[in-house]
Amino acid sequence: MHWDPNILATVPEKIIRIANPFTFIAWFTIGVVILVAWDRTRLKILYAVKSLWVGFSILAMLWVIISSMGTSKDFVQVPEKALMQFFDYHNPATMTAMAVCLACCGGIVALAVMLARRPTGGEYSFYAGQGLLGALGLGALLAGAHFNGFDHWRENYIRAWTIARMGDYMINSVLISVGSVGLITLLSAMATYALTKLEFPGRDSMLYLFVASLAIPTQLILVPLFLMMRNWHVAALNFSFMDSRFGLIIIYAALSLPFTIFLLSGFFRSLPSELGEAAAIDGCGEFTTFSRIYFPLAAPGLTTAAIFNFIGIWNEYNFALVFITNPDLKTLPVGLYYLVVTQQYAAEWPALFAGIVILFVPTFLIFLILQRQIIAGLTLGSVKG
Amino acid sequence: MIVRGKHPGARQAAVALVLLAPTLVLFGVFMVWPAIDALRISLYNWTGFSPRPEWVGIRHFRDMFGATVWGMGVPFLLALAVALAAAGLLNWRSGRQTEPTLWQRRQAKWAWWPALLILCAWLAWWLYGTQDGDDFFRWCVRNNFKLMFVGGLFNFAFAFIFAAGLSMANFKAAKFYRTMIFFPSFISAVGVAILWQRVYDARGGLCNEMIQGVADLVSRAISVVHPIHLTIEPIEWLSSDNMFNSVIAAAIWSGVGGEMILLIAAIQRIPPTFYEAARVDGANERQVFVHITLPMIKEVILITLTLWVIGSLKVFGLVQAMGIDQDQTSSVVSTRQYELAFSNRDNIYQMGYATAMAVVLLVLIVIFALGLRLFKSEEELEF
Amino acid sequence: MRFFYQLSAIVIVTLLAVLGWDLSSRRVSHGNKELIIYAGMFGPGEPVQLLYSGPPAGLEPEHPFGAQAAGHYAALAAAWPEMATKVKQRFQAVFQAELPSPDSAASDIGALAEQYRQLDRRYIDRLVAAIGRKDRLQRLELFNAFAELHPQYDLHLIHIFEQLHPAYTVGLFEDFKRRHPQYAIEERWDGRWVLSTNRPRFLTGSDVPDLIAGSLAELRILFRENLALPLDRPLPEESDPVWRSKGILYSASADGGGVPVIDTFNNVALEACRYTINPRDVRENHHPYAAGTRIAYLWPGLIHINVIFYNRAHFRQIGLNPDSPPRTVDEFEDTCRKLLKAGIEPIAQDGESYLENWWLDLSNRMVGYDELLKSCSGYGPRFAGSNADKRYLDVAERLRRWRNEGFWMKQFSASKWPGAQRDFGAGKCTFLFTGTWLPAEIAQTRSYDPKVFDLSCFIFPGCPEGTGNPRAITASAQGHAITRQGRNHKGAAALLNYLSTYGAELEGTELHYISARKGVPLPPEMAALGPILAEAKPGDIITDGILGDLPMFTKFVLLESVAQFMPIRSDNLTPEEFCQTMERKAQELYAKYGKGM
Repeated sequence: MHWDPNILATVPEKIIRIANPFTFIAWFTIGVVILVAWDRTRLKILYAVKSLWVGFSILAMLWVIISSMGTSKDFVQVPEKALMQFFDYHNPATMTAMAVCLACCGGIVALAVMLARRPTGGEYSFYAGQGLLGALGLGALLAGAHFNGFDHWRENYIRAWTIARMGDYMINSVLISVGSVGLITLLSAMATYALTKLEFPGRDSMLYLFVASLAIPTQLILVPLFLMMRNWHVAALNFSFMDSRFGLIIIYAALSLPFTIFLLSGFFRSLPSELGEAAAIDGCGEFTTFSRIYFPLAAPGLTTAAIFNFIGIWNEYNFALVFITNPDLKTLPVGLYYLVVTQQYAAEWPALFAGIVILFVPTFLIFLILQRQIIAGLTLGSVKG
Repeated sequence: MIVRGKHPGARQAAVALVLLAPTLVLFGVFMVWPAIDALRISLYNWTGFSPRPEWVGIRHFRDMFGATVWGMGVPFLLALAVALAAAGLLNWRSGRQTEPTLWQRRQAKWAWWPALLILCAWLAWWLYGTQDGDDFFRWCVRNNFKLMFVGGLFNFAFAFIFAAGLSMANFKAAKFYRTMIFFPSFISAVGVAILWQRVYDARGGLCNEMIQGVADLVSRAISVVHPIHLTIEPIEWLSSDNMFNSVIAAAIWSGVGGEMILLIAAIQRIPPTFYEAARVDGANERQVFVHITLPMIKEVILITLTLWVIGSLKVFGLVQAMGIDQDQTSSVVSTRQYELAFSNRDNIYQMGYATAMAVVLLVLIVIFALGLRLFKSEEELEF
Repeated sequence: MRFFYQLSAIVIVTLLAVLGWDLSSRRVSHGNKELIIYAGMFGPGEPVQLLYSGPPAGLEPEHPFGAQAAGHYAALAAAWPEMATKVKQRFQAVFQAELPSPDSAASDIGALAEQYRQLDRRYIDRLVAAIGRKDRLQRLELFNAFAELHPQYDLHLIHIFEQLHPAYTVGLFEDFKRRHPQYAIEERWDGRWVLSTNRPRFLTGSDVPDLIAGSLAELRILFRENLALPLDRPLPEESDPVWRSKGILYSASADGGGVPVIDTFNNVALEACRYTINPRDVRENHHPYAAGTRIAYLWPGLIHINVIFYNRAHFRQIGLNPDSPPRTVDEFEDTCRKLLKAGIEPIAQDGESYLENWWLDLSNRMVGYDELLKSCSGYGPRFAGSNADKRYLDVAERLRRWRNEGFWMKQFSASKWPGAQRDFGAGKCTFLFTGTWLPAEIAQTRSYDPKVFDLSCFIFPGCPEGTGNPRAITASAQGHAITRQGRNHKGAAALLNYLSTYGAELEGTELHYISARKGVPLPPEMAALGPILAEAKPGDIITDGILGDLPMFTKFVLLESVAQFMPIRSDNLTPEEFCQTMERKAQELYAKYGKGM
């Protein structure tokens, strides 16, 4: 390579390029050395690492929410303005908001400490108190931003909801996710019961086939499926799997079944077989045993599987991108993707961030409410061996 | 009224068939058949408009790997065949034993290693040692591998550290941390991409602002002695040189939570009696971790690793949404495949070639998944 | 508890409901009208889309009509005399100017006023109340009110990011429907890669659009695959006598002058929309049009020419005559050096887009397009090696020199589209090399202060030492194709005829595009191109250049090599290495797919 004077301009950038994999590895080694050497302070280091990680995540999310309240002009001309809503202590509104926020965080911690010291009972009032304080803190932060010029939230969210059609996409997403998750739950429960609790030739190899098909990349079957659609066009009904929510439900269900069966097989195995034998003695057939005994018993595992599938399908966009071209039928992630592409023509950044928040809020609510179920289902033996 | 047949086994098989039928139909029609069909399509040239694919045989694969690599593949394949045959023979012999000892079973399993090593050597040579074939495709596979190894290392290290920490009895506010670390894995890849694009923004992005903030603090500290103000040149996190590393960081951020939760669940499943027994025997914390926790969650670690390997090889959403209209340095196999098959800006449609890429991807996934299976321990721990 | 059965019932009902909704939503009733399905390449919010079905560009969001649209206020006042004083007052308050009187611009306002007179009074009240209210949301509210109160208008909001403007809901499509009541139009704005989006429709044969608007590069695929009708050839299977004997393009133009449509287009447009059927098409796709001239035409839409835009304000600032832009590359270099000396960054350029055009147009000037085409397709002198044409190295070295001297803006390698456009429009850089779509794209973001930004353009400067045609222009066209599988050829042709007759003026004035129709004045920014366009002979017009003629070469050789050569990166190629890389990749391509792809 010959000498290029402009290369000089890029040198400082290279020196501090933290994303370089070798630098990454060096950092990692240093981290491990510190962890091992300071055995006594390990807990503190763990706290520090986790706090940094969590702090970054929370800051990033709040920052997106605040960005979704501003204007496009600000976004382009004063890009650091959103971040200043956390750190600009010369601004009275920001200072007040952060003070209220900190007070609320203190209150939440205090409630947690009080709860830990309390012998038993009354958790829910503490949780409610924490929730209220959290909402108050968030509200204070957003109010502070509102008074600093981030007061276009109503307009941005309405634009995202109506003009960028997030509302319509939400309906599509809900229909597709709910339909396919229901279908998956039913079919996979039936299949896993048959594969774990019934005796028939070829049972183990069939289970193995399902597990092995986890290796099939979705990209492999994308083109053949695309081809199949040509032949599966029902002219009389004007129905095809292309551009159809129903078609997408079926495809999602088919694609998620192997993983769900894999997830549930460990769980079903951990259910005692004696129950089925007892039911057989009482005169129940295999199907009745399944629907009356094992299906309700498997509810925790099924819930976990359903949540995982719901999140996966709610967020999926590879198949939706290929199989949905009709703008009426797009799902939320595809709509958001097109919104990103749209930024070329119409700089509507705040509405884009509003779109992320709209996409994310349902999953976050589900996550908060059902978190315990996820952990419980996993702990009870879903993924094992 | 329930009528019991003479052969309960046959009856069970019939019920099982009925219960499995819908699953098998969906599975067969939408997964198995397309997967087989893909192998056929990869032998054709097809633009996707006219229903007239052109038969080209294995030319796509030859183009992909290039003439010399393809030629060198023959000795490799021979060596591979020999290694596979030897391993198969050993396994067959140990399978004939009615009660194979642990040593025999291990021996049979380790026999697969030479074949795996030969395959890996050939892959590595193709990826890093040659200039032959479709170098864009090779670049994409290399990116996938980078994500798999570098991303996987960090992903797993963080997940492991977090899971171990959160499972400690004396760790306060574990639930809060768990929730907050887990929640990014619930955001759609598009959302993660938009979020991180914003974080990486050279002007006003979180990364650069944080670096500048640190510089401000440092310069304020130095100013006590000597007045100075350090300004950091904004780093272009999304320039072509940094792009894929930035994508990897975003993938780590969104992937850690899920793996952490699997590990936490595995650790929580270990019966407390094991720990009590160890404590009674006088083991310290580290010994307990190394000799009890690790072996007990080994299976789950392997599953987590396998899921990561599969996930990183077929990653699509994050890279696609992050890399819109960017320099193509951050392409991975799946985005390239999508580009060639479905969304071509240059009006070249190569569905056959794209499918051939996916077939190679499948082979890679199978190799790595089977390779990880070799680490599976032979003695089953039941608890 | 029969939990299982309850769940089954819920799931089955949900699935059936979704299926039912899917099936019913596919049957859209158009009464007894014939449907024309229009698939357009323009993305949401792009100017042409707004022109066809939405508001004009240049509207300021704070006011119902922008400052440019004084005629609308006047028309509103004329149509509703009882509102006139209120309109005048508000106009004065907002724009600090007198409302033009209705007589000053006679005919336009009369037609507009007639439109306003037909609107609902309740809507007019809200419209007048909205003037001057600085709330962007009001446009949405106005739109909703308009839709509610005027059932006679069939409003479509198909993923348009900007909502339709109430005053312009009578877009071109709506106007066409009023003139031809027998037709209904279904618009689909399928984004930039309209062909990718429509491919499934061609495959399944369902919902195939009757006409597709796209770039020639895309539409030529339709020709090759025999999916589009050739427009200037006899179509024996059609019923229309003109179509049967001569072809669709020979129908009478829509304005009633009796001239065949083909004669209303200018040379550049026709040349850009010509497709020459090559032997491969005939061999592989059994093309039926192999006989005769082997030429097929698309319906011309807009023309784009690759030009260098420049900021006349900077020319004045450094003491150059803004009316005589550089004519040779050496003059161009001198200008850039002068600009650098004056502290102005010469060339606005992104790190990723239009990079290849520098190499292509410089090579066009240096070796000439025919020669370049031969080299690229594998039949001519090579880029590197023993039988190399030395001039390719010269081109690369010149480009590298420009980069090393710092002609390109800082942040050139890392900046993303549309960073360069933004900086250029804000008066930070002097030159921008791109297509003539630029004025329309930056209409919203550019500075309108002539001291900061004064836009004009010139074609790529010539090379005195080169053998290429110095007047050659690289043009690309956005055309329309009538699809063979479409159900309504007649309606599609009528719509096209209408759009190219009545849309042409608007394209030039509202959109700042170059229209395909003869005699339509050029937008002011591109007035300098007038003589060049008028004098251009078919030999001077390079349609799409290498990008269109050799798509495989472009994708797998040119773009990949240029990406390693132009930006500043750690593994950057030297000019020699660049030529060698081009050569190596080209040879690989020929080995894989054969020459001339």
